[in-house]
Amino acid sequence: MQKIGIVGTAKNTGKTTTLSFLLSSLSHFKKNIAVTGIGYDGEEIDNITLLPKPRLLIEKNVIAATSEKCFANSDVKFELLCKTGLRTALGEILIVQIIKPGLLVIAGPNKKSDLQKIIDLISKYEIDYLFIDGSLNRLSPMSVVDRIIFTTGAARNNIVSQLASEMKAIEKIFSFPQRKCNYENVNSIRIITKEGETEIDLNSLLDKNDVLLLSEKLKRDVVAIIIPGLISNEAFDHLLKALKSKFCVNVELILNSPINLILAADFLDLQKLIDNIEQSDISIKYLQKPKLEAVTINPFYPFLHNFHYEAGFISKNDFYREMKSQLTTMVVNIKENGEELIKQIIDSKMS
Amino acid sequence: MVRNILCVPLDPVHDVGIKIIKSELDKNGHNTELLSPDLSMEAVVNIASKGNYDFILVSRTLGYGVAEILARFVDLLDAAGVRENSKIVIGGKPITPELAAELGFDKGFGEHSTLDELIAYIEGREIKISNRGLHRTKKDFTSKYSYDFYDKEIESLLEEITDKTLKWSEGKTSNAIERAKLKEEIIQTENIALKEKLVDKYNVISDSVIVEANKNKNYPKGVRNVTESELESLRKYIKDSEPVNPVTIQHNNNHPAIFKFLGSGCPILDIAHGKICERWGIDGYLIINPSWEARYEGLIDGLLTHENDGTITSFENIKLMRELLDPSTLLTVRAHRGLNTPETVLLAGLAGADLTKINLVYGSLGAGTDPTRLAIDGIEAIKLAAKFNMPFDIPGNDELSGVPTWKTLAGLLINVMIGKKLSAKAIPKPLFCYGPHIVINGMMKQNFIDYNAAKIKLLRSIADMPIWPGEPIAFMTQTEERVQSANSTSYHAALAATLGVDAITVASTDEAYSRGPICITSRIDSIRAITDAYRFVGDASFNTTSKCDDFLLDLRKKLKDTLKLVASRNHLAESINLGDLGNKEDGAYPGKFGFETVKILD
Repeated sequence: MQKIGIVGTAKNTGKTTTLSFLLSSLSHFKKNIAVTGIGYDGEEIDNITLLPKPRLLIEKNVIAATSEKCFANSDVKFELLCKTGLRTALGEILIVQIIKPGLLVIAGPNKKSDLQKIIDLISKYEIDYLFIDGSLNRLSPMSVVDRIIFTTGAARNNIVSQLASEMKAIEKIFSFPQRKCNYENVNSIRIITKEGETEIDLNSLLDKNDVLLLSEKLKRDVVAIIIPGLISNEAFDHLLKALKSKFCVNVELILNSPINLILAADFLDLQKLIDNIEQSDISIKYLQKPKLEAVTINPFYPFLHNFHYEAGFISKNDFYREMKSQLTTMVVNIKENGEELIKQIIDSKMS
Repeated sequence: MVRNILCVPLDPVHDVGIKIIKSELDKNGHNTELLSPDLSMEAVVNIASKGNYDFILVSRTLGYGVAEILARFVDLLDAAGVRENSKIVIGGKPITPELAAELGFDKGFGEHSTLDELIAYIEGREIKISNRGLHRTKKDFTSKYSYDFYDKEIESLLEEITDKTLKWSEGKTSNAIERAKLKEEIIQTENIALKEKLVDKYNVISDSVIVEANKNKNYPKGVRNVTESELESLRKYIKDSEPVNPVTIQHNNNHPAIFKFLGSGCPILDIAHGKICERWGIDGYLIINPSWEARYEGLIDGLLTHENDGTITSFENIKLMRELLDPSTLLTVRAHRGLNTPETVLLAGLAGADLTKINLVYGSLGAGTDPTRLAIDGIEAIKLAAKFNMPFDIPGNDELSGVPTWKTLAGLLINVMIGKKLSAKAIPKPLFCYGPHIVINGMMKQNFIDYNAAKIKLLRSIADMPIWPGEPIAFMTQTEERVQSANSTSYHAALAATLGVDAITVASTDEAYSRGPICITSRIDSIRAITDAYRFVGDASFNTTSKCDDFLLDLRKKLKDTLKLVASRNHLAESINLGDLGNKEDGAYPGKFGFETVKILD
């Protein structure tokens, strides 16, 4: 089962449009499809801007994991496969198989560990593709997927060059390699030396004090530091200084996934973070590494006019050209060349 | 079980809500820690990850772009492993369960959530709070009154007037009274042959326009049946639009109930508006019939709509309103204007209305019904109101012309006493506004308080009875500007609240200027304004000036003089015809409809 997450740089960047396209296109290829989401998507009207939103049409036989209250306003017919015992703000998450297609709001697990439980449950049903819809700019639960499609657009920022720069930084973060090791399930920071390992009673490095605690245990022969939780931008700077002061060189900083590094800074500051990494002696590795599959672009943005949000658009051609020139990852405008993304997904599954 | 709770105001300014919540959680014995509102998200995550918190409560106002900030905060907590041990909860005015889910929180509490709900969630208790449906009981503002008179002189005068009038009415009838008797049998019998016979008898004593409409469905211009599809779409609309988070207008139990008019001509529109206003807390409606209905002998049957002011008060129309409006909503049906007063009260009673509107004086002045006819019909109507246990409200007749207040109040009190004699509960409705006589004579040059207050104080000093100012309050103070109109209505409502009256009738903000059916937003304007006015005034009161006492003395004297004059006549109808309760100088003329149609019983 391929687990494909769709995440956005912001609200209204085209997650639902991308997911709708993938669901409808892949259904023509007779693939077994499942869908869930880490937030709430597919509603008729945007919760914040009150603008109409694209809705999610779920085809027959698709398996969906969504919260029970979402079925109240849905026109699908379904067979209940299992109750998960996992709860969201909209009730318990149910896994169902659609027997009559229709519109359905998807509100699935809101944290990483719950998403992993849903993946485990859905994997029993011989599924080819499980799509995990993102929510807003949320990323954290997506550490556990195989591939990520990033959506970005004018709703995030209507300056195309800035959108391209931040996506280039994200692409760079995804380019750091995976480190296969037996630390995938650890919950605390580990310092690995040639002689052995030291555990620190911390999950994340968030400020100077955390780094001080870690540096007390740092020795010159450190080869790797494993951080299962977060590392903040501030802590990252302090860590570099601490490593330097202890004359530690060629250290592998092993993070849970690229997402943990992206969360270290706001999107606009990611390039600065990458520059810091590239100027240091450390190398970044990941315990889990989803592949950055594609970047989809959306020229739409809501803007305030007379105290109401209205729809605006930047030039789709300029946007596409700028993104293509900056990225090596596939760039897709779903409404123009979405079929290229479908081909890539099918080809990579077969390979 | 004691919970450890981190309270996070992720907002530089708006942290009052989270402070209130912290205080309540402390009172309930939980361990709470309130962070300062100037911390970065990373700093909050740091604190959250190092403490042993069961819940992290976040308060934040929303705007475009804030959702992404909150989503990132949720991600940081998730990535830092905080979510494995802590539930994260968002609170703020616009928060809904859907928005909480979208942002990735475990739970959300919004504007309509209660502290009880939040505490129950924190403590892991089930709490059943329905935000749907009105869940209120029907107001009763007559049963607490004895109708005993404090002013014995006025009581004695009223006794004399009503005794003479009731004695005079004995042995008299009208076609309206006979039709009411027939209509009761027609509605209640299941014998088709008998029903047809009764209908024939009804038709004999009805005008040809009415007979033609009932027999051949050849309706007066603009009148037609409501269609099945209209009815079906109304029912669907109501089913799909159950009131959510209903509002209560009154800030305390002593604040007056609020009534509005329904009379767009179309019962479908009336009910749709009625349902919306119920959600905004309206207590009841006055169904206002079209003026042409008053001019014909007989009433048209059926579920009917027409393209003009006033909704036809057929049995079917009233019944539909009763069925589809909430059972707690009070319905009063206007009966006193025209040639069908007893039958309208009968239909209101049979269809389940709660009150009816009768004023023997008002209905027979100013292009109304002949005073003799309305006195006979009105007395029968009041008997029917008593039979159906429907209190009747008595609007003041000074709203349409220049009739002075004391004459109007005399008329109201005569109706109250007739009601008392016939075991019906009357509710006088003094005008509570810039009435024509007041405008002409300048009684409100100083303010709008003294003269209105004097009327209420006078009635309160006369008898132990409910008082319901109308109709509508603030009449003639409103302009075409909706904000001004809502303000003016709300000031009058606040004054009414401080004077301890039982109900008020309020207009929509476009009522005087709508040039057609009024719109729903303007209905809500005035309700919302009154809700705030009631909240503002609470249990405080306004001070009147010495002018109020002067008005009170003057009104009492002139009221007594008027009652003495009426008491000197043979009966009420004679008094009205002679202009005692409004004459040509006042702009009030005895009505002509139904002149010389009262019959002597065999």
